[in-house]
Amino acid sequence: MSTQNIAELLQTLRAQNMLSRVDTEFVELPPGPPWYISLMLGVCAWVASLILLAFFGFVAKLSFPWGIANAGLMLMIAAAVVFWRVPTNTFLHQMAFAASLAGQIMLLAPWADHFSRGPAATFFVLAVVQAASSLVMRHPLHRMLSAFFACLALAIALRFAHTDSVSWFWGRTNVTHAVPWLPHLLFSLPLAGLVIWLTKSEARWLALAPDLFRPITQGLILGLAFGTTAFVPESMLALVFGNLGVLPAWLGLIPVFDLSLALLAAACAYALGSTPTVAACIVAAFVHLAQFYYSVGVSLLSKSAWMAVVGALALLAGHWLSRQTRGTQS
Amino acid sequence: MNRATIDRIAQHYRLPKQGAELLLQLSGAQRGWGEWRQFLTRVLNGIGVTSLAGSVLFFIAANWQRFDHLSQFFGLVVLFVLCIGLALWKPAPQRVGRYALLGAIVCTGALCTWFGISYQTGANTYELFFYWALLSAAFAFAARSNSAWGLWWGILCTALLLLGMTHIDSQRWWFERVEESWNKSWLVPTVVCAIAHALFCLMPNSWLPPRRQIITKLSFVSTIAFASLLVIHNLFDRGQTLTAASSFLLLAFIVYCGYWAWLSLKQRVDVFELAAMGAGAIAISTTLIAKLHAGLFGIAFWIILSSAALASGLLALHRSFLAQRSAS
Repeated sequence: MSTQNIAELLQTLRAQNMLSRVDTEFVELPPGPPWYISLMLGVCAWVASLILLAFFGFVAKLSFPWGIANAGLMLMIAAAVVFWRVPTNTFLHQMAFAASLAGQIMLLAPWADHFSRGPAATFFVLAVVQAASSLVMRHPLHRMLSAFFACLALAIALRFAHTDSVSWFWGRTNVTHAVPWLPHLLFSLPLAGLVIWLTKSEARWLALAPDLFRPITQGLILGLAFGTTAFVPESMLALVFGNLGVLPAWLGLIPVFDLSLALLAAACAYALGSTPTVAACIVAAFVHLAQFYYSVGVSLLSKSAWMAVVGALALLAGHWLSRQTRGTQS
Repeated sequence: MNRATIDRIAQHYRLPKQGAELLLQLSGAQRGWGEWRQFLTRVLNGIGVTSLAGSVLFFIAANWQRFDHLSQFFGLVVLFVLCIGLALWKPAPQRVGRYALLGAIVCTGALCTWFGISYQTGANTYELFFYWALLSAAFAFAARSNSAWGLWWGILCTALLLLGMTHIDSQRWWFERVEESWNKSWLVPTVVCAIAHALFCLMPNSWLPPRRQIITKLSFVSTIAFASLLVIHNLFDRGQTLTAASSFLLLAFIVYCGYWAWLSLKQRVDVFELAAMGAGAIAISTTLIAKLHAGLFGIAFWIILSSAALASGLLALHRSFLAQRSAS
């Protein structure tokens, strides 16, 4: 929007007595970095954080788990302070981003021993750490990624809390078709509700703290789109690693449910005007669709017929809608 | 109005909830029914096309073993002819024509694979991908769409990557010095990509999609990626001694980058090319620092320092380009 349009908009707001600060002039922020610069910064921070992790692990020889966790906590606190106190320095932000990512993983060291016995606790701690990071770290990308990873970690924690062990994964013993519906619904329904509420309350949180709520909402939307993949039945996972025969047809219902959640997430992202988030949700929808066709226990020929019918129906509906739109416009 | 500006206004003036609602309405940020209908149409069309394409693939997969070689061949040819027929009936840039030509590119690949499996020619995989890229180039030209060009470029880059990796001993490549042929094999992908990029820049507008910069930038990034690999392995995997060939390659890389940097600064459109070259330079310099035994902390520090410095410089340039454009 041009400066003139912003001035007109502010005038309208002022006329409606909506501006509490009439004495100050609005100065538009300089444009942010283009996506490829953000991508380069993000990738470099990730690589640097992994190297930092290796440094603390191998070079500093921190072998005591609580020592590693303390060092991780220190790194995270330092990163948070940098994000709050120095909001514009790119170098310090990169340093803080890398330190925070390394610190988050180091913070998990005391729970690493429990991983082989049951990873639910480790992932639950990770979810808590990520959720805290999304609130504390004053950096939009960091907040979004933390909210997203918090969702993923929570989904995996609930999944493994329900399954109780991962022995089936390694030894492929007692593989069942049982669907972990309870943890799935415990994860997806509240999250879907929260995402819809946050999307509908955009005006409410714009008035409170948009720099906090917008990235977190985007992260939660991504979490809803991708997180449900954690709840596939054991047999569907085991099928990837070995041929266990044909799966029952009803198993295909889970990816269909996940697909509808991913499309809901895409719609929320569209409502919030975030095109990259919409694109990511559509990728998630394709993942669920592929999972559906891979897992549904019918012959390839039946799958082909289903897809032809679904494709034709979708195209017809799309055609009807676009005709409606043209009719309205004319 | 973008959401960043909306956030900034709401935060700056501490708007109450009603004010924020009014701001969203006035700025046109709230989606109307027409926009929702457009979004839904796009989603439904995407699902429709993907499902129909998947249906054809699954149908072929279901019946593949039942057909003899000749029936398989004719099945693929029928699909191919159908795609070409559709493209001739409703030529690109109409939607049907574009999708049909995308299908023709995929069918060409299926025919190449059928040929490779049926005749057991002993050809390397990269050769099949090269044939695929060569035979389907005409469809990419005819489609004049970024998706067709993107698919075609992906096929060509896969061929070049496979060619480059043909001589790599995958067990040793990270830990020890690699064979000399390695360096030569990265030279071909670099040169091919550089030539393709130059051609994309020189081609008239009517030959390329409306937003030609996408394929141009894609080819440039590929050139820089392959060139960085070439420089890294020529410079640092041979006992850190510069041979005449290595010096020439390094000089050629510097001259190439220098030319594109000069062009970017002259045209003042965007900083994409500079960012790609900068990323390549970070990769090369980080490898050099690692080879000089700088230690893990030193490497991490260098990555952070170089990326932050590069990003700051590029962002300043990007803003100055934008300011100049809006002023003019």
